[in-house]
Amino acid sequence: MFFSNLEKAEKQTLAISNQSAELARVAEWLEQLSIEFQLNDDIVFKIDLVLNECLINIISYAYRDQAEHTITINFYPDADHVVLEVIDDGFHFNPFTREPLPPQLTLESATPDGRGILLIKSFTDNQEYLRLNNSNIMRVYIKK
Amino acid sequence: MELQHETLENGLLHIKLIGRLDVLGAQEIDIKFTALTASKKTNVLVDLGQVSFLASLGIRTLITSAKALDNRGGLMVLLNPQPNVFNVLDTSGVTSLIPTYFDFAEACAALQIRS
Repeated sequence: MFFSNLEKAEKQTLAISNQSAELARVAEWLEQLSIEFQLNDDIVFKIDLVLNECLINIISYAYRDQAEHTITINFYPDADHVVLEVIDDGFHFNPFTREPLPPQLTLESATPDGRGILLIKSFTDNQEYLRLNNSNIMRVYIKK
Repeated sequence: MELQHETLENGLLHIKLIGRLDVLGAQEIDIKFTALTASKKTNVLVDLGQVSFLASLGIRTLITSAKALDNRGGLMVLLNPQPNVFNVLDTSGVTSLIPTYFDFAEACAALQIRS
């Protein structure tokens, strides 16, 4: 998939460590962004959901060691879109090429897990992934 | 995340969740929610009206308990999810697994038919 160039775009950045307790700091950051950029509640909900799903996946599964790692979140405000970029140095993983969950029609056959990537794809308008310099870069676009 | 519960006069267990059902919220209520819903045959009404956010780990909590109830012959229904929370439930297929209502009386009636 084409990975568009945002090098010169205005952005806000938050760096967190790979601990689930850091999600509280992400929530505070999102609240500040929502005020500064006057984001409506639906956009904030989508950003919140994407970050929750993406970050908990990275924190839970991306690292094969017990070391501390940095996860970088970039927020690009744009006239038409909000662009979110999440960068981690975990093992190579493209979330957007994973097979979707098979349809689950009964509770008996349903699995409790595995819905995170589906939610990221469903609540965003476009998704991109790039492996660069031993890092995963996931980018999503949300129309305003 | 806060969890309140009561047994209604009709014998149904009414659980009200309040706050964000994200990873931290799910961790806060998981043990209590599972203990209330999965330990015996019962019919459970889970009121989501004051849940402002739902992520997949919250869905995990709901489905895990609904499956355990189903195994014991009980039933769980969801009540009054806010629009964005309903979108998450619907998109992830939960509404086809756990009946979801926007009317208290209808939700109670659905549970009593099964009891």
